[in-house]
Amino acid sequence: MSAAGTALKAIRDALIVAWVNGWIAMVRGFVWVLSSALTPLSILVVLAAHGGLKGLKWGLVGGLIWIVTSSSLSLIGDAAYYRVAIKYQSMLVASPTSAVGYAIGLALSALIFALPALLAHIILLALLDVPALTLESLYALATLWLATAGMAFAASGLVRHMKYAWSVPSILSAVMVVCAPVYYPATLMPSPYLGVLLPTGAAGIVLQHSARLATYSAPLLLAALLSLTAQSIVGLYCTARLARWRER
Amino acid sequence: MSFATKSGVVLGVLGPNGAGKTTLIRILTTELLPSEGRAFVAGFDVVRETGRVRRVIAAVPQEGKPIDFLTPYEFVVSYLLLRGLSLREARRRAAEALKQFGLWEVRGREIETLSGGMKRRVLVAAVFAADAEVIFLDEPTVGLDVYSRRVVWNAVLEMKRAGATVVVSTHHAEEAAALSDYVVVLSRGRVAGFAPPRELVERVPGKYVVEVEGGADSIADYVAVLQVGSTKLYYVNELPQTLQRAINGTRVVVRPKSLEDYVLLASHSAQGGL
Repeated sequence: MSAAGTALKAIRDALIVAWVNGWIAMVRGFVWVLSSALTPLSILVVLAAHGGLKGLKWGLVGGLIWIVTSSSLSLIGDAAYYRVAIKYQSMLVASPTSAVGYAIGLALSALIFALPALLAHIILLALLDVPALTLESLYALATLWLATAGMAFAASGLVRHMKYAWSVPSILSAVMVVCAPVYYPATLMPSPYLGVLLPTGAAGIVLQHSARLATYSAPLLLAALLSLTAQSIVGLYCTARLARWRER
Repeated sequence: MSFATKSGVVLGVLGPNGAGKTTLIRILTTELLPSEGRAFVAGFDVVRETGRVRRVIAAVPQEGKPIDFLTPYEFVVSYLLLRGLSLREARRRAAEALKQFGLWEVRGREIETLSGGMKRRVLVAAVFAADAEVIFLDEPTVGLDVYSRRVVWNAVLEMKRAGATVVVSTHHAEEAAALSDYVVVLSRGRVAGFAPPRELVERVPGKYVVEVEGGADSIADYVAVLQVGSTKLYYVNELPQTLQRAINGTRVVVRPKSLEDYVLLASHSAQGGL
């Protein structure tokens, strides 16, 4: 198959997996959508109660990052479930299904799942006249999705028992959002540049600046964007190479 | 291990737990990298020509289950789409396969509401509809009721009639004997026998098997003997005399030798030879 044919097959497979694992799953299990949106909504309410309008804006911007991160990381559970629990991945390995298409499809399905919560946040931000969705912030969210989804798909290959598959994403989400400047400014850290180490923090810096919640220097913003670019490339590499499509 | 089979046959893979049946199938379906040696499926090297192998195979893995929030129709169609079929062709084949496997009436129900046997049949139906050149079924009838097992057996024979090579791993010798043109018996990761099932049965010593409950040595004229738990299996040529000596208050079963005896003897033989 030519390179173009391989790429087209991967895109087709990604859309099929996203339809199955994202769209159908969302339509049949809307309770899961609500439960996945519950934590950022809870934080939003707390921040709004204590910080008023400003707290609400911080909660909405942080919520966007939380939703993208946690939905991407939930891929660990989905991929492990398909590989370990029901052996669906084994069926697909023994077929012409594209490994990269499968992984991207799972990541897309996580995004589909997150769409209602994302839309709710975006609408609220628009109503509050917060300019959060600039070109840079959209780029930050897209690269954050790629970086965390790649990380998740590679991590799912390490999961041997399902009992860890659902708990690990929750722990990782919390760590990645709390330890990085997502709900607070990067200036609170010993050095604001520490904020760009995690993709969540880098995205936080870009979004907070776009939303005018914090003002950062151009070098810090550039560092955040470069960090996100590099980590999304690593994420794609993990997806393509490190995912356990074939075991040794 | 080394064996080769021609195309268009049913190959049974038999052996006790831990013999290497699933490992063999995982290597042949390109899921597991072999530590050494070479393997070919439909003429393609499973390591060097992975893409070509994957285009011509389909597999139902051991303990595999369909995605439970999908309907049988959605599961089969999506599997066929992932294999590269057009939507129209996927729909047509899915409908055919679901009818053949007695799943048409439940095609719109979520799989989680179906019985275990139906769920297994959904998996086999998907693979059946793929129309692959080589099909691997790893213990496809485990936990199935008599009806579902017969449906799977019929499907295996149907796939063979359509020209496919079907590799079926199973614990059950009678299943392998009923379905297979050739049987490969594995024991501790080695081939302990590879031949048509009837030939393997002929290699079992004696003509009859006398199963005697309890450990007492009640039969002398045997050509081979095997202890399985508290039961001794005597492989004998002469039936009447051995029977007279055996009946002394213990439970005795006399039966013709079978493929199961070959597996039992092979798995008890250290190097897998009979």
